[in-house]
Amino acid sequence: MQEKILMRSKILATVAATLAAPAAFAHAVFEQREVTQNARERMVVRIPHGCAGGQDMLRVRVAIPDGINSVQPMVKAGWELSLVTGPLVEPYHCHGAEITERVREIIWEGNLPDAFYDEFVFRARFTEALPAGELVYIPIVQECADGAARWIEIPAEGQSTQDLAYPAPAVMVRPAADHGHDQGHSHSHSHDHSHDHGHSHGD
Amino acid sequence: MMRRALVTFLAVLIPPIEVQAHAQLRNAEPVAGSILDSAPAEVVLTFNESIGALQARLFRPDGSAVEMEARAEGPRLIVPMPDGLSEVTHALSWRVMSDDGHPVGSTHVFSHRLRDWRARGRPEPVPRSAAVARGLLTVTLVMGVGDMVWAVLSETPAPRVTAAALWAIVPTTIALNATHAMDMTGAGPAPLLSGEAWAMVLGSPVGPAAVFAVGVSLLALSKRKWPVLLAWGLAALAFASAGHAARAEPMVPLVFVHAMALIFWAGALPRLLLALRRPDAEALMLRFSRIALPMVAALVVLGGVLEWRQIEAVSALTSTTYGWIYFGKMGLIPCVLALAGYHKLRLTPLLASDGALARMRFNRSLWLEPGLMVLILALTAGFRLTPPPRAMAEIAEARAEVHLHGRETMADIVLIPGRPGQNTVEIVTLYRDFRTFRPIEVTLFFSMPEAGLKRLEARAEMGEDGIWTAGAIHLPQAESWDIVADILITDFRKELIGGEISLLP
Repeated sequence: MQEKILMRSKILATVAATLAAPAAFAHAVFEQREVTQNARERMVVRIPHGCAGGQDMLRVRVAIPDGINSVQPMVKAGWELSLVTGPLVEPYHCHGAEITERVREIIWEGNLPDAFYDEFVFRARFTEALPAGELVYIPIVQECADGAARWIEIPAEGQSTQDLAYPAPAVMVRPAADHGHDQGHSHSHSHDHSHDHGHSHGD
Repeated sequence: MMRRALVTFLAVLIPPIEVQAHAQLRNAEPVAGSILDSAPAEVVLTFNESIGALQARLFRPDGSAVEMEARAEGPRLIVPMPDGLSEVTHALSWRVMSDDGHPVGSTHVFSHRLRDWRARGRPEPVPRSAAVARGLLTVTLVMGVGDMVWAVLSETPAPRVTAAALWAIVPTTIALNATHAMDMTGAGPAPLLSGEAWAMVLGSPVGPAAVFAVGVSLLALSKRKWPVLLAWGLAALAFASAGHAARAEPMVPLVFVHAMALIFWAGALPRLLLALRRPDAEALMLRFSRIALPMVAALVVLGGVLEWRQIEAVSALTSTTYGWIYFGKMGLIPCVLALAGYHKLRLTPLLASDGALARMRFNRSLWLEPGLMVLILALTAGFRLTPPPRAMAEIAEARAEVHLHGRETMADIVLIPGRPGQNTVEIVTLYRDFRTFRPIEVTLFFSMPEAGLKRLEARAEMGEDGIWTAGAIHLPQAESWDIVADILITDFRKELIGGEISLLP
């Protein structure tokens, strides 16, 4: 049994490697490398091109995992913005009102020619539900007229993002306490962070 | 004599005449060999054609039974399981309606949390009461209409027994519907008192067919030439549209002609024996053989073709019961032909020179013909009880299978024919708790890194039956291939599940 599992993971690894090989694409990523628990972060999605075959991108969709609340996308000229919401696993109180819904998906619709680069911005609070010291994966799908580029692959155990053809962009979660005395260090890494510490429990 | 003939027919010819292929179970989920940690949410049975849900009954270990709510989705029967199944063996008795309206049932035995799942179908015996009623209807219709056709063509009055056979169609039809209702509910005669069972029968193809049979018999009972000929055509048409040899191929016209010839031959022959006592026997014999010979030829040729369509491969002739029955039947046919030739070429001229001798010989050998015919019909009826190789081939055809297990999903992958060369792939995706789901995309990757064979990619498409298929994909070498299924579960979630699949040599 153990042997079989080892065999399987070996197969998976080799196949994943062969899958990754033809992907000469630059990946969709976040400008930020890390985020802080209970902090409101400004996230920048970098889209380097359209879909396979040189197609223009018509839509970018960002899936917000559980544990990321208070999502606010930034409006963008020439792009129509919409949100998909869903029930919150653990409702919370904010300014006396109970929050029971959360944003599950942000959708920008417009047109990005394959040759061009663009960025899409949103703000969100990363709660303590996201374990510190681990990566949080935020899947992104670029949709074109015919097909899509899905940055949604999450590495299995023993794999890294490099093994995947279309990895979901990820950021490292730093603990809130750690953040307190390590502020300078954190900022030296991520220039665009806008930590709203005062709002960490009152969005 | 006529009565004796009829009795012989009824005794031997219990199942109906046409070759049928009912719905066959192809796949059951959960599958054999998978490890079951908890009770399944549902049992999914996949057939080779669309089915209708009739009944699902779960037998608990203590022998008590619970009616389950089953639903049909195309070729699949989905039976949600109740919460809190105990950790022992259960039996799910199911019953579905084939495309042709015939109920098919079996029992699925399963256990859970026993580290292996044994799911096997145990075919039920052919429901006897329904088969008897169906056989009776077929015989009365064939003999009644056929004899009436002979009566109007030969301009001889039809005997009372023929009219009686036709009148008998009405109660036979009611009996057929009743047995069919029992067959569909699987609960004996009790449900017959409720309107529900009858409504179910009338809604199935059997109901309209029964009404049609009554109409045909009434037409034939008019005893006038054109209505009788119309009844002949309609009866043949009924065989052509309901006989399921026709469903394999666009062969309805062939079945139609085959059925017309059969009805005439089977209906008219017994009556000839009576005619031998008449003074104008010679003229009648001549007239009969003029019509009968091409009919016999049509029967032989078309019957051979139609049954051959169900066999398709020479090897199936000796390797399947169906093939052996076909052998036997084809072997009898030259005997019938020889006999028909003897009657026409030897005895018919003899009638003119030595009427008494000829009549005596006719009396002796003409009985052989219905005798052989009964044998042939009995063999044909045997077809019905054996699934034809064409249907079997779909189930038993060579295939290589693998079950892939992921974190979130599982996939059952079947390569057909599972040998080196062109293969088509069938994929069934399930969640880990055995719920089925509809992925957005499924892509398969085959590779054999040791042999330096590059990754082969096959994008699967979902068919109308809800089964994903990919291919044909060319796998050049036997032995073991690494396979990865890339399953897009939702727009944002996918899973790659890998495994190995060994091709047959």
